[in-house]
Amino acid sequence: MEALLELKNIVKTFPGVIALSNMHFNLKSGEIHSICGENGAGKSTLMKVITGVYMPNAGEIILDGEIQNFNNPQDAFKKGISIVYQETSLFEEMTVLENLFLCHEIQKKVFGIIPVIDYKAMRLEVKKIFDILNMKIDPDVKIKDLGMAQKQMVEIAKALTFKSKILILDEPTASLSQREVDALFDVIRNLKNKGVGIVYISHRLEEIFELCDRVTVIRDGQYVSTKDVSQTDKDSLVSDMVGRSMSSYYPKNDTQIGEKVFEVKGLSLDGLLKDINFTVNKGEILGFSGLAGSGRTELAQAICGLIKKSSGDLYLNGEKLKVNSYNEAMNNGIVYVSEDRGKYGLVVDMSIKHNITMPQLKKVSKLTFINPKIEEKIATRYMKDVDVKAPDTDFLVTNLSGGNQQKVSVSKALALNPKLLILDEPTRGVDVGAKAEIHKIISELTSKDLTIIMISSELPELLGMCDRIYVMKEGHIAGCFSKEEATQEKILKLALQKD
Amino acid sequence: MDKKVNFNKLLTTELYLGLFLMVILAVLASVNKDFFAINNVMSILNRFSYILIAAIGMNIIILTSNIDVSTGALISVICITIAALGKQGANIFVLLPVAMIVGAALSFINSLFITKLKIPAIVATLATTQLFAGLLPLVVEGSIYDLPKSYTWLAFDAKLFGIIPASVIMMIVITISALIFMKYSKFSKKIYAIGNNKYGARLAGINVDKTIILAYSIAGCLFGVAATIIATQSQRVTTTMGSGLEMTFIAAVALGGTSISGGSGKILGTVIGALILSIISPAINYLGISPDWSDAIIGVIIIVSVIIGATKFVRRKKIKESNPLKLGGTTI
Repeated sequence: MEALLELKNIVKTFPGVIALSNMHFNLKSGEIHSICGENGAGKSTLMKVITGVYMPNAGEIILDGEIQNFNNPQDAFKKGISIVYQETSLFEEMTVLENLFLCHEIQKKVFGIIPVIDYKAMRLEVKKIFDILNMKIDPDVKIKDLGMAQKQMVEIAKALTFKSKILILDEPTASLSQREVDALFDVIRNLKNKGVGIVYISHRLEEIFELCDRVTVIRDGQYVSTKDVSQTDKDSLVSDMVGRSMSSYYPKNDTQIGEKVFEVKGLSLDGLLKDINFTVNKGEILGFSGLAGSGRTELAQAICGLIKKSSGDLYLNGEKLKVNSYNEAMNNGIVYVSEDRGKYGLVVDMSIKHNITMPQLKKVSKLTFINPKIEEKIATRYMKDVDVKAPDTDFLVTNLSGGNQQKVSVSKALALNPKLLILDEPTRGVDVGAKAEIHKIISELTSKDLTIIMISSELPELLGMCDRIYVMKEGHIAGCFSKEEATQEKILKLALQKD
Repeated sequence: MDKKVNFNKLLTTELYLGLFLMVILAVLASVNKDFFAINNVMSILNRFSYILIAAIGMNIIILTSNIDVSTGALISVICITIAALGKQGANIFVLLPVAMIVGAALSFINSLFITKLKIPAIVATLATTQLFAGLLPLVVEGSIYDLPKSYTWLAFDAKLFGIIPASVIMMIVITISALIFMKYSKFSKKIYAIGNNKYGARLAGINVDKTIILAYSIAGCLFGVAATIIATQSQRVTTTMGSGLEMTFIAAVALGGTSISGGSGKILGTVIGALILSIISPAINYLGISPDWSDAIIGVIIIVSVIIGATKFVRRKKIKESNPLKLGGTTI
């Protein structure tokens, strides 16, 4: 059968990053085709290329035998491609009904000429869809009054209101119950029988084997394989996803691991984290792995007082800590380096010096006035410590490369003399060379009696750097591996496994 | 539970404002009956007409999460333009369409700065305010005066049953059209969507720039209508006829419960907001309070109404947080 949609040699680059290279994909009508890959493998970027959000730098998108040039989402939408996004893209202040039919409202003609929205027909249609999905939501309620799972269901119902040829579902089951998942699968199979081509993205491997016909694995923005689901199994999928051989350029120093420094007991956060317990030892690098949305960042932020935890205690050197704000965390020697340095980590339009001294203006000032000499001294010292490559401390952060910006983030944290440093995705958006340098810096830090918690989506990085790795799943700790026993396959399997 | 939900649904900003309006009117009725004299009512209605017509336009702009502070200057330009035509003997059937076209064109220019050049709306319209207001004195010296009867026909002669001003009829027609338009047109949903989440709207397949440009142009037409009502009220039109009016329009929209960050708000709220604003100044007069107080009182009213709106929001949120799984129907 001829392909409904075919992607050939798609290349998509962003400044400094190659997001997709030589990507292939084809979808037949009446099939459910899954796309698999680790976090950051390029799945979302690929979907955005198909739906016209991004324009590829090279390659062809062929729909029904015709080459397409989608300039914007409307183009793709008009050709019958619709998508349900993973992050809900609903409009909070609008009603469920308005959201479901946005941009394809059912209309009727008044006096034979004036088109008006036909609310009655839309309500009827929605009732049909809600019955199929077993949903009981008032279509006139505003989205902001719904809970998370309900929003997700509305997203799915939205997909069913399109009469599209191709339907893309990006992690549709992330916050659904089993009953809702079953209803959804029935609907998807039904659409398949009607000849709709469905792209199904999910981290839950079980679902792929239950639902899909073919599966394409991508890794690091590159095409790996396409297989019939019946011809493959979980293990070979996982090894395709992981693929990379462990490189040896993670220069982890062997440090003496001391006694327990930091302990978290029974930490919970409504709906996000459930009863987290762990300990960190002196001089150790503790890794946190898990899928996007498994609660790793929330855990880090709860420890630092950036989000309010509902329960749980923190102990540093055996003493119970009172941390209700980030200021208190910093005063206790707990420092967090955000995964999003552009948004939370740095003020990019300010100089390196001002970024480094920002959290401790009190220390660099005398009688409320900033003393430029002290400021310069601190900035120079920590800039040198982590080897930021810039002419001087007055250099603007925005003019630095991603790797050097990240180093500024780290030096800013180090200037606070932390006892516990939490690094959230320390090498995201950083090129390979700088990555190795950052790894080297992190490794050296532990020799200076600093204890580090490192959150990362890159398994090789965790395996290379960490002494122990905790795996998180759906807001709780699913397991822990020591450096010796951890492998990519084991971690990924644990992170993907259904409860 | 159901009853409670319905009760909560009724507690809208429009209801609070409506009640407030009733209170003002009741106080006026008991204190000074002259307020309800037919001439006074008609003069208030006339002022209400142009404020509401322009505020509806402003509401559409604000719903897209933009703003227009150039409206006052823009109205001045339209006033002078149609006065120049009126001097030549043009009647309302020429003046009104010209006013709407000029309004739409100037507003269109604003929207181009905002969408194509990506200048924040407040900066772009501040700049065009200076531009519009600054160019007028170069073209006209102070004012255009001795305008003929054909020019002021709308304000003085066009009266239904000899009593209801034509401006009121125009206001009613436009308001009803706007109410229907904002509920039943596809375009209005795009406006709300953009105001809620611009990026999401793009992903949903909405041409964001085009929608914003159209929204500004529609608003410009309405500013044109409002300007026609203002300009034809006297035989002399100055270059500053519209100065400062934009704040009244924005205030009417804000008072009516439209979120200044966009995406939420109803025309009905704007109607009541505009009505309160047009009544306050004369009401203060009739209550025997010095007119110097009127601006301050309007300020207090806006702040109080915004606070009421905010506390309502906080209460709702609390209900939601304490009971995240039970609202709506499906359970996890």
